[in-house]
Amino acid sequence: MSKDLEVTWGSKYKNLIIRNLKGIFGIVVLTIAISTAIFSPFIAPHDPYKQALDQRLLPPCWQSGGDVSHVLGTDHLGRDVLSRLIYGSRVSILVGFSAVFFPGIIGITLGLLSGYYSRYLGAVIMRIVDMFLAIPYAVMAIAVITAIGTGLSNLILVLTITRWAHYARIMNGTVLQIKGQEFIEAANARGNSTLRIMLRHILPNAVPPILVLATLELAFMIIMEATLSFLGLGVQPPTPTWGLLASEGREYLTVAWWLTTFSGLAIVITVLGANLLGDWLRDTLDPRLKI
Amino acid sequence: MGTYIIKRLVHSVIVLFGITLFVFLLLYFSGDPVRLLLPMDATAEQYNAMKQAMGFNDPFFVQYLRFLDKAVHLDFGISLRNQVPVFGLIASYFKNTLLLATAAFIIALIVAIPSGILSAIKRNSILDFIISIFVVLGQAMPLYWLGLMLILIFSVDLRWLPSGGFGYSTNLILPAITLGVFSMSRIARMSRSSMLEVLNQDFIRTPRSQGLAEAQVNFKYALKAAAIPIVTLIGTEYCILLEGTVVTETIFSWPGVGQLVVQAAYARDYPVVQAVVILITAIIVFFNLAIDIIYTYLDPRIKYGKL
Repeated sequence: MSKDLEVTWGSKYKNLIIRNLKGIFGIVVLTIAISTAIFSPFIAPHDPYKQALDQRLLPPCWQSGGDVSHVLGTDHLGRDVLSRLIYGSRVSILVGFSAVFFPGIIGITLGLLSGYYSRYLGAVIMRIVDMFLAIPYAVMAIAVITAIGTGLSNLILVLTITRWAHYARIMNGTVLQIKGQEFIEAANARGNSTLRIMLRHILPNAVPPILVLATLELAFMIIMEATLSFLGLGVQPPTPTWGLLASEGREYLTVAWWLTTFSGLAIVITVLGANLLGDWLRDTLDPRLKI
Repeated sequence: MGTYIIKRLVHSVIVLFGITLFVFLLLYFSGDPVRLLLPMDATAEQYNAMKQAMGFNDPFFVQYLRFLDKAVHLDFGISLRNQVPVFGLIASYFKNTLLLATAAFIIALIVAIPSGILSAIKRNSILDFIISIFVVLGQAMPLYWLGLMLILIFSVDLRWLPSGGFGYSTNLILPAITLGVFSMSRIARMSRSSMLEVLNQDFIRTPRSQGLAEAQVNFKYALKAAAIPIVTLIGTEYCILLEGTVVTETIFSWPGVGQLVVQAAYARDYPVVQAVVILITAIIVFFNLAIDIIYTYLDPRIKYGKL
């Protein structure tokens, strides 16, 4: 830590920032990603769907043959890579957050119920959770997609069905832990209704681990959406999504490296931000987890 | 001891039942195989006749039990794409997947465990920092992108390695490295945190205070204790690796189960997808069961309840 005991204004804030660098980086990255998604039409230099076959496969502007109007080059149909990248963030952010929100709601509710009524209902729900958790994730997602089909809304549905169990399990454990606390006993003795206990007393204290999980899940879901779209089992062309950009670029890998590379970099940075934010949340909230 | 094993066994069987039910439900609600199999101009009578003959008019549970019965006998039907029995198809591809997964696993272990342990021993040093950067990046990279970047560098630019295919030992290198890196981050991370936790404990302070060299303390005492959580993780990691083969095999055209299931999904070849899910899950469930049982020998505290 600091060798000098004297605290100046500068050092105080500098220390605060350095110690929380992970979290700050994560929040900044995610804010940029979300803003890019929301304001895509205003940021993107070109229409991501507009083809220009006389300008196919232009390299990025700093290479010879590149054009400044297409900063990151064009793809095999002449569409601007940067614009497709920007619009691609819409799908990734939308799917990422939806795939956290929907399974989260289901998982948290079921987890809360199974934790509170842990003897019978809880046992049943947890067995179902175990079952879902036992299936290897990629295989399960593919199986559900085979059954219900591809496309954006189906993808979100698939991710919801396959992911809720993780939230339920954490919630269950947390609720069991909270249930044993004295303030719950006190609330019960006071005559608070079950619903009130659940919402007013248990739920707020269960937030920290769920928040950490949600952030890490966000990261994972963004990767999952990209991977499934890459395999052709997710969002379909011509909608730009980072995974699809990579798969489109794969055919031309020998002549046009920029298609695949930049879409992947976008994912790496965004997921890195989400992961670091989750780690920081976990570190920050950890002492308070032992309520 | 016996009760623990029996409880785990029963648990595994229930989970397997649940999974077969889940998979069966998916397919039951997802499409109409009779309509798929009949020509377009089939009459209503032909439709009903076929439906009856294939047993689709029977109540749900009868169909499910029939499905289970066949599954236990390893009869998963015929692949809709190429009309061969599904199980035989999967079996022939499975050994390739195992080869890839095992190779990747070995690479991951060799690189990740020492890195994790080293970065714990030399905590907050430059080495720790560099390794942490790699770990954090490794977790943020999508597997397919890593594979494509490796192809770009080693096949397209440097021309050292083939970008796909099967048959020569060089074909194995890139896919194994790609898949290996996928696991490395998690294993390194776990090794590091497990080692750190052990290093802070009292039973490490004793030999240290007795004057033993730091290296001896580390290797003789700390490592053994740190090994237990690492061994647990290794079991789960292998299963996660199997999942990664789906993408890796597709990119490198490696003829394995992963590529098979993706192509089957694309072509809506239900029997194949169904069979892969059940078989892989069954393997993983039994694998975990075996590890848990072995665990009761390694760490007797387990059988008295999770520590």
